[in-house]
Amino acid sequence: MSLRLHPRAALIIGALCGLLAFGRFHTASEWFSGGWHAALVVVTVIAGSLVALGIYRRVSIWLAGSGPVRLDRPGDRLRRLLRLGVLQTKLRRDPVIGGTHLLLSAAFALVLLWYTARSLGLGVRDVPTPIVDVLYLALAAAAAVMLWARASGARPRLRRDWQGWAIPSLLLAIAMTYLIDRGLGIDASGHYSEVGVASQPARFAHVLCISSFFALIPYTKLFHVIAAPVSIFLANHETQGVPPAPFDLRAEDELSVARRGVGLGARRVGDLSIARLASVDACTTCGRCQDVCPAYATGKPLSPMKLVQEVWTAARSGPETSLWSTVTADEVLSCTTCGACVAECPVAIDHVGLVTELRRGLLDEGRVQEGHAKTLRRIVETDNPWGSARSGRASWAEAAGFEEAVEGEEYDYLYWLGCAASFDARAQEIARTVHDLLRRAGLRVATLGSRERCTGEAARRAGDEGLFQRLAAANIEAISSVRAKAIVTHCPHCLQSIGKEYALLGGEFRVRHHTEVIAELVDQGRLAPDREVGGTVTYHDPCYLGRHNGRFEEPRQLLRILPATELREMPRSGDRSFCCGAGGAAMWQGGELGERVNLARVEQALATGATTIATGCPFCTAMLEEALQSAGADGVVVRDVSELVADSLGPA
Amino acid sequence: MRILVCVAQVADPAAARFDLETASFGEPEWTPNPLDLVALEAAVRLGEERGAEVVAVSAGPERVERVLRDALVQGAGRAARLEVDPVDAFTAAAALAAAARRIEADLVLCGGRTADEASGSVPAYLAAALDAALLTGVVAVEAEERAVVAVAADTGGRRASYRLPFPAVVSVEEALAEPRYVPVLSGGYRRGLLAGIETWDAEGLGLPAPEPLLAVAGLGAARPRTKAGAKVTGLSMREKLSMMRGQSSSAEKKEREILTGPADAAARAIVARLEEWL
Repeated sequence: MSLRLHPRAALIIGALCGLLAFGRFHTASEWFSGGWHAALVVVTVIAGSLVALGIYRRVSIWLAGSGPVRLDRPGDRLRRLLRLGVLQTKLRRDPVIGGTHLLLSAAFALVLLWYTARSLGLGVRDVPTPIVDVLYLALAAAAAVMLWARASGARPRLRRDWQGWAIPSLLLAIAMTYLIDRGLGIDASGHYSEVGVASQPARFAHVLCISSFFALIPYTKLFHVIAAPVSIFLANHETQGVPPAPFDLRAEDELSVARRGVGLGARRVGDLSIARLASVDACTTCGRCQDVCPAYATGKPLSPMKLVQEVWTAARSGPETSLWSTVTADEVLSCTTCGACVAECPVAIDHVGLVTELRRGLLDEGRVQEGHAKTLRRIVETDNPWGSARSGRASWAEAAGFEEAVEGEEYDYLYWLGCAASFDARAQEIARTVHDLLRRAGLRVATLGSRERCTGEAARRAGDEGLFQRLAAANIEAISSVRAKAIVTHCPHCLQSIGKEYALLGGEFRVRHHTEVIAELVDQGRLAPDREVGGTVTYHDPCYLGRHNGRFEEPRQLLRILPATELREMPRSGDRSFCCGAGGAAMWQGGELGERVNLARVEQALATGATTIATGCPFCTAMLEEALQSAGADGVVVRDVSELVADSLGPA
Repeated sequence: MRILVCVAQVADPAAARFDLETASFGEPEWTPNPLDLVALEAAVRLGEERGAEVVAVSAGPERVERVLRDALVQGAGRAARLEVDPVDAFTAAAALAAAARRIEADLVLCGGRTADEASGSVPAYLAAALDAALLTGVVAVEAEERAVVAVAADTGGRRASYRLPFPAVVSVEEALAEPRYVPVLSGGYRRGLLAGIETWDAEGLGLPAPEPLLAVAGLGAARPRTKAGAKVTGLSMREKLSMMRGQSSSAEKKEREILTGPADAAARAIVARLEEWL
């Protein structure tokens, strides 16, 4: 509790300082005389108090979250703040609106800087006023574009509520009153006089607008000017999507976790971290996340923006408020964890991480989605989500000619087959192809055989952290017993688990996707795909290969070198890719609400006119193939990138 | 309402290993009897609906505390180990009946049979000892104030519904309920992990020294089921069709033969026969 008082005290002191600075500027100014001056003092004191009170109240809500606040790697945090906050790279993914916002915020910030410096007597009087005039003109232009974007409906996502109209209008008014004041203040000789009486009403209106603007900050979405930098600075990039678990079963046994009384996930507002609450508060309802969300696009009950707003609504009712008073389980379960929302969010909200915490909260209360319950039980009983007999794993790999890793031997790659290739006929074809390519390039590759288990990826997405950790511990031990230069897998979900998430449990491995390895082999000339494959190909980025693991280029590189094959991109590609609908354990729910995501994606693929949909994930392959069948798209096929490379190589 | 659920620990049939050299079973892998977990799930649901107290009991040595822990995790409110040696179904039922009397149970739920011995006679002994109504083969159950309405599966898919006044013993089938999935370290799991397991000894339960009611007179060799297929290779499509319609006279008669004697001799005989056919 004593820790929490600190930031509050700092907050009050900060607010007072701001008030004093604001007041000093006005009282010291020679811009106003007599009655105008008195009115000015009243306005600024009211505005200053409203600002201080509003900030105090909102920040108090953040501080009701659970600690501690992580501030490690401050350099990275500052760089992200520069990129997202100052250069506004995320906002500029929408160049027109983002550029306008950058212009507006830059102009406003510079004007504010000028005012502040001036009021502190820092000799900026010598700054030629035309420069300030230009800044105000820029502000006016930007505000006008903002109003136009709403009025014209150019961006349907922009809300047409009172805030949506009032804020740009107020900004426009701030600029216009300044410019009118400038016009009126010019005397006969053509010089502007700061003490001119004629322009005093306009000048007062200007100060009134600025004061209103500041007073509105803590009571509207304008608060993002404070919350967004905090959210960006406190965001923990490396645990994005999956917040750290409340326990580590490698370090502590279950009984002691139970004795500590920690819950599995978030059930009340106070279970969320301070950073999470600040990020939720930074939301401006800009709608970018909702625009790209595959669940929202297919009519599911989830909008990432709405979810964030609901969490904030609950947060305003205090730390003991149940998150389920505003959020529904259907919403949380509709998420495919594709991360499209996170990629767009200009204020660094980690929607996927929030969903994961809420799913853990659902599980903590014993509310397990029916399909998930069946799948999780199958994983417990058979170490794979299909519930196939354990023995199938090794026997298939052996029959397919895979070598099982032997202790003492050294291999180029440990081939992590994953459950899909072990138990699904289509994925087995992919695994055979990949294996064949690696062997043709002369690499020594081995599998774990029966020692391989489900990585626990789906369990973790579903919120079952305990099961994930049990599986991870067994897999970490098995992998560590093999000597290989790296792990290769054709499954992006396994790549995510072993390559990124096992590190949180002490298992640090170098994992590569097969497209990376094959691209490297082609580069080195060890594989030479030179036979014409032909046709038109479009590439579907698997979410866990692209957005979550940054591998956008290698698969495309392979597709581009295929002779006589044309690569046509879908509008939603790269880090803007549209999910296939399987991620986030959605595959295992046994049905989905609303339209089917895979049908929507296949429609986008067919619109390119491609006859082949290439991808790099067994789950995407299954979803897209199933959708093609449903859509009745004859003559269009789904191929793994490796299969196209193999076609181009011809028989060995 | 108070519900007693009997959960037995059984030797996992799927994990049973028979050592050919010593001609004996290895130490079994002990696991909860699956049908008892179905009974427990039904009891926990009744508890949630009607506020009933659910007590899980298991008779046996300390190792049975593992299934009682599972029962607590799955939602039982209390768990007690009956410190008696259940030498057969009768003595097990006597101990369970004593436990039911001790907590004044209104309803006793148990699986229809155990997965290892599968005598299926515990529910009947139990009902007799408690002088309670008994319904076996139950696939649906609903509670009333002083009775349960249970649906029993009959042969041929028929269903019959009965009202059983308390005290009642109900033995259940798999179709009744699917045991819930309790995630590791979720709220229910933590409660189950932290709850205590009581021990009720034979003296406290007022039980005499266990004496088996039935004695095993002898064990017979397993009689393998045989299923013989007709030889169809070399037959024309028309001949196969008429065979399928049962009109064939040309097809050879199905042959069946049971090989007796030591396993290696039988294996050699099978190999010899296969070689002959090929």
